This record gives sequence, C-alpha cells and structure tokens, in this order.
Amino acid sequence: MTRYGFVLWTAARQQWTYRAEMAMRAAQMALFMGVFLALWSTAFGVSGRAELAGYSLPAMVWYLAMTETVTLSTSRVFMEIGQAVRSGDLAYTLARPMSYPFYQVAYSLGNSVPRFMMNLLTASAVVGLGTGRVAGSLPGFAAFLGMAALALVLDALIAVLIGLLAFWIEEISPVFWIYQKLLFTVGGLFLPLEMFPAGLRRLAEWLPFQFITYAPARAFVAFAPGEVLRAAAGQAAYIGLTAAAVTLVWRLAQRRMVVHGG
Amino acid sequence: MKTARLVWGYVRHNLMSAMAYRGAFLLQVFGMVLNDVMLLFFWWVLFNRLPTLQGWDLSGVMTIYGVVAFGFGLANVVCGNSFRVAQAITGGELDYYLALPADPLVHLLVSRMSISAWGDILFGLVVFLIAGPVRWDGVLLFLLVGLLAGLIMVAFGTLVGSLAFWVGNADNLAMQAINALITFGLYPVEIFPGVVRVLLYTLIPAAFVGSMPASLLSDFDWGRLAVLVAFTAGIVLAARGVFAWGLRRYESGNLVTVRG
Amino acid sequence: MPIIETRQLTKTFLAREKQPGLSGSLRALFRPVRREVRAVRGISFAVEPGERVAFIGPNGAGKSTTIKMLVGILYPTSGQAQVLGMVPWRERARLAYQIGAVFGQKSQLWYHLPPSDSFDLLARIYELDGRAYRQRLAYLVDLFEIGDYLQVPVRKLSLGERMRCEIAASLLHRPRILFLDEPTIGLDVVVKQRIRDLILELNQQEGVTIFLTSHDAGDVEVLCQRAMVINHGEVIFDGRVSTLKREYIHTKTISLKLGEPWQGLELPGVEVLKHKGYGVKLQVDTGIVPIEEVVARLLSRYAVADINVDNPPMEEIIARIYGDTETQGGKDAETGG
Repeated sequence: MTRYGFVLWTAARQQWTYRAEMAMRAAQMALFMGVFLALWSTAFGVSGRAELAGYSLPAMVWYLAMTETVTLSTSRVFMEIGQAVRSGDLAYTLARPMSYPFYQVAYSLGNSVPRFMMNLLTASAVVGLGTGRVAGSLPGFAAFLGMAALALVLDALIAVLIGLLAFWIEEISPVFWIYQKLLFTVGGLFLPLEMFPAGLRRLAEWLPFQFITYAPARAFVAFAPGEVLRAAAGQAAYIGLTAAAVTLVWRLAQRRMVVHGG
Repeated sequence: MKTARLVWGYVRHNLMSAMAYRGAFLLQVFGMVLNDVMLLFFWWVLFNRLPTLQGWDLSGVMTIYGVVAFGFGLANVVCGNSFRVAQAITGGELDYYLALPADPLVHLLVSRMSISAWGDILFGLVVFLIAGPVRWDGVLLFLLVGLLAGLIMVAFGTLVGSLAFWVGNADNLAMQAINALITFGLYPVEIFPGVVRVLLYTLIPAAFVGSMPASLLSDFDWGRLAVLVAFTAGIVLAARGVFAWGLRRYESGNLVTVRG
Repeated sequence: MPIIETRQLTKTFLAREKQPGLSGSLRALFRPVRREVRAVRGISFAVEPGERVAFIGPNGAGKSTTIKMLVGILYPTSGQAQVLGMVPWRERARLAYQIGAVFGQKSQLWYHLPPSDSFDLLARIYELDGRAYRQRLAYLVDLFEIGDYLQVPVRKLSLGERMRCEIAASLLHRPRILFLDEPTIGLDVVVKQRIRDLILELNQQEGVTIFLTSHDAGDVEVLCQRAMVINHGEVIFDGRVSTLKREYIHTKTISLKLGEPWQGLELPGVEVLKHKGYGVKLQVDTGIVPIEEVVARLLSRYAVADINVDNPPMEEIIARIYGDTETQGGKDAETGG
C-alpha cells in the first residue's frame, strides 16, 4: 500500500511543477464562475424569488463552485492508459511488481491534489467576491474535504476503467465524454439534484455520479450529519464496486492483450 | 478555384483515413451527438422552473446550441487546425506549408480534420430542426448563419493563434480565448452585465456565433443580417492580414517535425 | 540451466484490413475484413546466465512481441517459455522483481522531477530496504557518474545523461536479466561508447544477463557475444557475433574526397558504388582483401582530402541474411520436388 502512496506523492510533486498549466486552469475556473454568477443572478432576478428549490443565490453559486472544484481537479488518466494500450508502451509499467491499474489510480490522484487546492482557492475567491459572503459552514467544509477525497478516488477508478476499455474499442474519448456529461447532468454538476423533476431526482440519487459532484457540494452548503454519513457510505460502496470492476476488467484485458506490430 | 480544390482534396482524404477505423469513427460521431444532447439537460431543467430568461425560452436556447454546434462542427471538420494555429507556429510545422505552392494559411487550416466534429454538425442540424416549427427558408438561413459562425470561429482561432508569432508561449493563451468564445457563445448574451456584453461583441465575439444568429432565425431582420455578414467578412480579412503580417517575421521553431 | 528458455513460442493476433478508396473506407466502416497476423512463429532458444545476447531483426519482425512474452506482458497463442524458472505470463509480478528493462524511446524517469525522485519511487515499488537501497544507489551513482545530475529535473538533462540515469534506474533492484531496447538511440558516438562500456562492466561485475535489441551494428559488435536474428516471426540466425560478422558483414564502404580526379583502383574485391567528380564511394569485400591494404593503396596513389570507413548498416545485414535464407529455401524446394 505504501508504494501506491508514494506514487501519489511523486505525481503530486510533478504536477506542482506545471505552473503554466495550473495558471491556465485557474483562469478557466475564474471564467466559469463568472458565467455562473451572471447566469444565476439573472435567473434569480427574473424569478423574483429569494430561493429556488431551497437554494438562495449565494448558496447556488457556492454549490457550483464546489462541484466545479471537484470535477476540474480530476485527471484524465484514461488518455494515457488508452495511448499506452494502443502503442504497446504498457510494457514499461508492466515489467514492474505492482498492479498497473492501481498504479494509474494513485498517479491520477497525485495529479488531482495540487489542482484541487488551486481550484478551491480560485473558485472560492471569485464566488466569495461575487456574492459577498460564504454560503457554507465550517463542519460543512470539513465534510466537503473528506467527501471530495472519496469523490476523487471514485472518479479515478472510473477513469481507469474507461482507459482499460481501450483494449476493446479503438477510441475511448467518446466514452469519457458520456461519463463527463453524466456528471454534468445526473451528477448535479450544473444543477443541484433538488432542481430536478421528482422521478429523475430519485434515479439520480442511486447512480454513482452524484457521489462525485452533488454529494460533497451539498455537504458544504447544507451540512446535515445524517445526510453526510449516508452519502459517504454510498461513496464507499461505489468505490468498492468500481475497484472490483477494475480488477476484473484488468484480468480480462491481460488475457486478450493484443499488440500491434512488434 | 485552386484553393477550393485543395480544400476538397483534404476533406476527402481526411475523411477516408478516418473511416479506416470504423468503430472509432462511429463512436466519435455519435458520442459527440450524445455529448451535445446532454449539455441541453441543464436548460431543460432550468426552463422547467422559469418560463423565460431575458426573453429566451428553451427553443431559443436550443437554436443557439444548434448554430454554435453546427458552426463549430463545420469549422473543425473542414479546418481542423483552426484551434491549433499557435501550436503549429511554435512547433515549427509551418515550414512544411511554406515549402509548398498553396496558400500556407489555408493549407495549414485544412490539413487536419476533427472526426468528432461531424457529430457536432449532425447535432446542430437536428437540434435546430426540433427546436421549433421551421420552414424551408428557415433551413437555408440556418445553413447560412451556421456557415458564418463557423467562419468567425476559424478566423478567431487564426487571430489568437497568430499571437504565437509575437509572444513566446501563446498556446495556452490562444486555447483560453477559444474556450471563452465557445463557452460564452452558448449562453444568451442578455444574461450578462453590460460591460461583459460589450466584450462579447468585440474582443471575444461570442455574441456573433450564438445569440445573434439564433435571434435572426426567430426574428429575421435584414439590418442585423448585414451586420453579421459584415462582421464575418471583417474578421476573416483581419485574420488573413494578421497571419500574413506575422509570417513575415516568422522564425522557424527548432523542433523538426516529420510528416508521416 | 538456461536462464531463459522458449519452446515453439507463437503469437498470433488479428488485424483489420482496408480496401482502397473512399468506397473501401465506407465498406470497412460497416463490414470490416479481419486477417490473422502471425507475429511470432514457433521460436525456440535458450540463454545461459551471464550471456550477452543481441536480438535483432527489421521492424515488425516479431522482436518486441517476443520480449513482451518473455517479461510476461503478453500471453502467447501457443508454446512455452521459462524465465528464471518461472512462466512469465503466469508469474509476472514475481518475475518483475528479478528483471530490469530499459526502453530507449520510453522513459521511466519522471520528466519534470530530478532523477533522485524517480529512484526513490522505484525503491518503494521494488520494496528495497532503506539502507540497502542507499548503498546500491551510491554504488550506481559512482559507477555511472551521475552524481552531478541527481538533483536536476530530467527535462534539463542531455540525452546521454538521461540514458545513464535510465540504466541506473533499471538496476536499482539488482535484476538478474536486463532487457535493453535501443539503449543508444539518438546518442553521439562518444556517448554511445560510454553507455556500452558501462553495460559491459555491469555484465562482468554482477553477471547480469543482457538481452539487447538494437539497430546499431556497433551495439551488437561491442556488447554481445551472441546474436539471434529474427524475421517474419522466425529465428533465422542464432550464433556467435563473430560468425555473424564473418558470414554477413564481410563488406565495408569507403567514402573518399580526393584532391584529384578518380582514375580507378585495380584491386580484387573493390567495387565502385558511386563516383561523382572528386567524391567516390567504394565497397570493399574484406573476405578478399583486407581493408588496411585498400586504404594504404588509396593513400599512396591519391591525394586524399577526407576518408571514411563504414560498416554496412544493420538493416543491410538483416536484409542479406534474409535474402540468403530465401534462396536456400528455394533450393530446398527444388531438391524436394
């Protein structure tokens, strides 16, 4: 286990050296937050109400800041895996005494940590200045941090799963887009689940996607211990499930490993 | 005429090589369609709660998506390098195009095709058709404004990409500007505060690729169409001019790329 | 007992075929044609501990497919292999502790971090004991003379410096077999020689078995005692490098720049390949006439501005070997029929 921790640590340190990329991500985050501020200010103004589905304007924008902080911190490790599979470069990491997919999970998480810190700072700064307040509590923040960590683990496992699909299909990025859009929609990235029509909301609550975006952000803007515990249990359950899936898929992949050229 | 043949030749060639990988091709195209459809989810939920937003309803926003996606798709299918101009300049790829008789800017732009962009074209067309009742002249107008939006995107990509002639690491900056154009383009321009709105008609001309063409489709007006055409012509000429100007001070990058 | 042994190792995979033209592309889109490609066809060989083997062949001959099966990354279609007494694809993780690999074109060092960070990470991955690791590292740093770059980000190192770190990294866990894939690619002559010396020294000091693939004839000649040539998935030569050289590298080329026009050189075994103005390119059959004699005769007869003696490129030797077996196969068929 410690070696995976060390992979994570090394990846985080390397990510930290990508200054230009980090600055670009900060700019992108600021842009998104600006758009959301404008959009929701208009929407709340038009509706003439102080709350939509239980969210005030600041709560809504802070909710978005938190969902974006998590999603924009995820790494795109599936691209590297896909490329390694296609080029046959897997050889390298494979000649080592450790599990390739879980090495990639650790690597992905390592990339996410510095991004997460920077995204959190940028989004909070823009949204804090824009709304003039912090729509969240201290215990809510603690719960957010814990759940965001679990969310990133779950996301990394899913990304590795997508990457491993490269053994069967030539182009995996469309699968990633679909996954990403599921986060956008039923994951509650752009809209809290409370805004959904009732039927859709019930469905979304059972899917894994809301555990990555909605659950941590909700914990921040509306902290409720019972809800947090239930959501964390859901996260853990899905982490177990996807980890098992990764192990299984990797076993299948090894069996049908086909290399082009040689 | 020679340019048209070059463009068509590349489109044909790129399409052929893309189709060699059938699964990948279909998956990318339909993956992108699905991807775009899901972007509309947000608006569908939002308009369930609010009747309209500054005069825009769901079908209006769908029309914006239709135009932007169609234009984006067209730009990236025909001119797949539009958003990579800065990379091409810093990477020294230009040498290859300069050594050939064709117009280097056009040649650079068309020599790559984005496969997934076919999905954007398909989505744009379909979403426009289902957004509201359309007549045949509406379809023609859609194709026209979609083409204009595509041209603006190509020209804008070229303009910000040409920054690489003067600024060292312009890749990131150019990518940011392009992201901003597309992101803002997908929202009705009226939701933004006044200062930002001015910006969206000038520095980042997002209003011209989204809200403005979409409003022409629901509420036609010769005057605004003339403005749109004039703006497109202007930015295309500006892009050509700036690129040609930059080319004069071009120093080839030290990266030698071999085209396979 | 051999350290590597294969028997009838075979790997077949499926490739997709495309018909020409746009219509062919469209057809492939809906009804693809698949074709079996036999990358490796029943390879059998044995390598003894401490041997230095060159495994050579043109691109697509089945080299890397074979190596991937030997390190357990790839399952064979049929046949057997044993590496260090283990079946690689069944015991990959256990085997991994005892083998090392350097792929010249794919780095194992983290590009933006100093090599020392990559070394630390590898120490954790191979579960090296802290003290033993530090001793081993000190030894390798000393041997490879990389002390000065240990704290410099890899992206700032020259290719030669990086390659030394690369090889050191793959030796941290004291592997018993080292797989080297193009270890000198892109390096200049002096650095190439240095890398070869280091690999030789390691082989002599620690008895590491070297399994090398390279397009560089120099790598093969200097580093290896034994060569295996593979083409179309079959081993077509397996013997000493000196034999390979005697049988197949008996030509050298001489490039000359003269101070006067070329007027020929009457010597058996010398052939003019190219001749333009004062520049001449000769091919010398060293089985007929020693190269020293040709050079001496040239220098005594002509005013020479520049002279270069080259071995034919590896690809040429491979092509030759391949050509020879082709004709032989043809002869066999004739006698058979």
